[in-house]
Amino acid sequence: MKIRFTSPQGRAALTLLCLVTTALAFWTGLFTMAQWDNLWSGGDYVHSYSIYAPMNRYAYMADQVRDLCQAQLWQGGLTYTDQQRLGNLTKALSPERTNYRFEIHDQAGKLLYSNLPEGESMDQVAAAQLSEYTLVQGDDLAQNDYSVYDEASELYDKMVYLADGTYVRCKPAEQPGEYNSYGWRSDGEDWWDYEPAMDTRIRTVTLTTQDGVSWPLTADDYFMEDYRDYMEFQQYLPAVAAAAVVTLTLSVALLIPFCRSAGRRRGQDGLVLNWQDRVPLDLYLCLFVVLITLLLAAGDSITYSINQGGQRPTAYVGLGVFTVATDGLCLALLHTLAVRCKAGGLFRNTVLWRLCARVCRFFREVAANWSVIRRPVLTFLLYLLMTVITIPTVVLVPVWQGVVLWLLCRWARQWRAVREGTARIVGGEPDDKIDTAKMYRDLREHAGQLNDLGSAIGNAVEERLKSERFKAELITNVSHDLKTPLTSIINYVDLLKKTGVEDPKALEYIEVLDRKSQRLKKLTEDLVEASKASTGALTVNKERLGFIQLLDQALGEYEEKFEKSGLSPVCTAPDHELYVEADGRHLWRVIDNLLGNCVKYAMPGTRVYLDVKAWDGNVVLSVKNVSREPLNIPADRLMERFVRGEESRTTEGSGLGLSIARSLTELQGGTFRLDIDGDLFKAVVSFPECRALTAAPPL
Amino acid sequence: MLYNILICDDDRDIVSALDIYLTSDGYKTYHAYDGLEALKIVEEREIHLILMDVMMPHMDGIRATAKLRESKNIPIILLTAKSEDADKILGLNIGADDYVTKPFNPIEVLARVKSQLRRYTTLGGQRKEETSRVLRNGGIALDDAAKSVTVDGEGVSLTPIEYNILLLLMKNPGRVFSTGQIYELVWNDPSLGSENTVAVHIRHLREKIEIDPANPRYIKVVWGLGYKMEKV
Repeated sequence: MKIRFTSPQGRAALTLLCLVTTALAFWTGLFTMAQWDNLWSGGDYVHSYSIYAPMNRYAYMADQVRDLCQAQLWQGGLTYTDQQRLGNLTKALSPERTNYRFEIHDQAGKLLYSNLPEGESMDQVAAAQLSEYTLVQGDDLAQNDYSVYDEASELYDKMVYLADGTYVRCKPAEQPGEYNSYGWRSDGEDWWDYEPAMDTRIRTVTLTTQDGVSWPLTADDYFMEDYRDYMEFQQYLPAVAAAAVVTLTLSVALLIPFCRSAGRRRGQDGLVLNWQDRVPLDLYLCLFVVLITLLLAAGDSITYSINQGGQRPTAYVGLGVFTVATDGLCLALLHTLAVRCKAGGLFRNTVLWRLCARVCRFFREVAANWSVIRRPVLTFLLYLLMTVITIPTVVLVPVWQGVVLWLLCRWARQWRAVREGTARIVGGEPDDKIDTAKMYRDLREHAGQLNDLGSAIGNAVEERLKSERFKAELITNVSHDLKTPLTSIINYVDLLKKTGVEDPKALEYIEVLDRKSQRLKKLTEDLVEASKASTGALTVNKERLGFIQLLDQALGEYEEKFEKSGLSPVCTAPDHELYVEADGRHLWRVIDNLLGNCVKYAMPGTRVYLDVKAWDGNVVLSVKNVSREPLNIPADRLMERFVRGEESRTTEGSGLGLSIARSLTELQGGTFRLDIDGDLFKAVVSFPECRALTAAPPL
Repeated sequence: MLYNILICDDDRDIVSALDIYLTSDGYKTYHAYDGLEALKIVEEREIHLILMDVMMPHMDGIRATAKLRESKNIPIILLTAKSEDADKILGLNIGADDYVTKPFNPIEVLARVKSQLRRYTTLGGQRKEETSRVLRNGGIALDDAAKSVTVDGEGVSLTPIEYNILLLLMKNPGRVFSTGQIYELVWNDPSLGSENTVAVHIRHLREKIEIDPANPRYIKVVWGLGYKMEKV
């Protein structure tokens, strides 16, 4: 979704709008909340909660009257100041000056005080309420009691303080085991205890105050003032409430794009952080709280001055400035919180977090420097210490042991990941990486090293493959380029033969040219095949083949060539078919090369032994022949490319035959071995026998 | 009839060598040295067969073949140094009739030219006189009544065993017969296993009916399983 308000003007306008609407929403909302009762009561002042504000002011005065009246009863009179106070209160609460009505009764039902005018009773009073209060006198006298040592009786007497300032001396022997009238008890010798309930010096009385408002209001008092305000608010409250709803809704609607656009700038990708967003969050919050506290204190004094001095424009300007400043601060906080949330790491950019992180890092570094022996020992000691600490708290034992189990499981899981990763690297996926994120330090280092090792192996393997492929490609391309001129050579040699040259020398030379060009042809073909077979660039379509069938076919192909070379093949094979899984064309090439080898290099007039047998789950073919020339090089060297028996250099053949045969055999999953024993040359090809199907070949 | 053959190769020596062979065999030749020239000549002249190199400047043989196949069905033989299977399959799929790899044997090229021309001109119109006794596959016609076999219209003399093997394979084109099965069906004797007599006879048969016995067109060796007659 497109983010709006990213241009400087847009952002400024949005911020200003937010400031105004939220300020308006705050004050209208506050006013509506304060007059909530007024809004719903619909002008019914008597039954509204508002009435209790003036009521409580008068009730406070009534309570003072109550206390003074009771004191007068107990003391039989009042001090001068108390008399003046009572007089003032009585005047203030006279029915002419107030609509407040109240009566005070004692627990016996006797009327103590009433400001009801003649002919009025409490039954006519509106918003009536009843309250009880217990007054106590003389409960502080026992504090002044003290003990005196009487030399005559050798016991302590109790000096009991009375309300008139005199003391009464009580002897412990007077009423042993019982409370005396002052609440003291003795066993006859020592004073035991004091019981306030048994102390006759303490007097209590429970007074009931019944109060209410005389409705309709007649006197011009707090009620009247409040009622006038109430009725005045009543007129424009709905408008204010509606304004509150509108501005609140608008504020939310504006604050959403305000938060969304925070930290975005037109023409810039990503978040833009300013200094506000970089300050650690807890420091920022502290600063915010300090500023807000200061502002609230200022706002308090401003509102106070408004309440005191009525309508003064400077005070309202002050209130406006206060509102805008507070609102601006709140918006700034919201803005930076939005940016921080988007940037992530809301709690990371705090002094507290940094401190914790530093401490953690310090401990981790200390732990990393511990020796191999110290580490488990210290870890174990830490575990024991924590266990000992948690045991007395009982509840924490399963928690702590659970944490340890979780840590162990985590370690085991990471260890398994490392082992699996190692297995993958060994198993031929050296570029497979172990995920080292969130691992313990030791395992992470180990896994990281394994990853490096794996990628090093992977690179080496890839380099090698690349160079092999490059080589194969080079050979293929070069042989393509060689073939074109070779075509001309072969063709023109052939044409030369047909021109009717009579000179026997020239004919002999042409014959040499013909032979050599044919050999060159064979050589280029073998070269391509050898490079492909050794790099595995050939496709292998494995099927179930009859090995003896294939050998029969191959011998059929070679029958004449053997005859021409004066060789007689001797084939021994079991009378049932042996099956292998191989690609027929590639397997034919292997046998073709082996038989071709015999034809080329075997001593004429000898026998070639071909043995096929099933042995140890494998089908094994061995080809044995006697070499025409002495074989003076080791068998392994024979299988390298371009290597032939020293004396065989001049004969036809490329020197690639055995190399191709071995590569193709291995490509199909078989093994190829050469043995040389004097002049006896022996090649052994073996493939795993395929015995799964016993059915005859398809008819 | 004098056939017009277009030789197209960027190597002029190869073109003139082929020209010598083809002219001495009685064909009239035209020369082109890249694909565009070949297309131009085919437009202007009546050409009966094209020998086309694959790797050429301006337009290679594969693209030229594809272009020609949009309007013409003249036989096209590809001559190329690329010997991989994938290249052959691509060439044949794009519409070429045959595929000869360099370095080639001129005799083989001549035989293939002859075979393609015969099939293009003569055999194309012979379908109607075909009788039920004549088995056909590609250029091979086997008349069981006359016990005669012709390849691309030329008679071939076979021994009775070779004839019976060919008859068996022609009757079941596409089916693979192992040596044992062929032995039992042709010799009417139970197979004793491990005998390469059949393989030898089939090789002789191949030498008689195939142009290049090492890369047979009709009688294919399925290594390790047996032999089959490929449907052409």
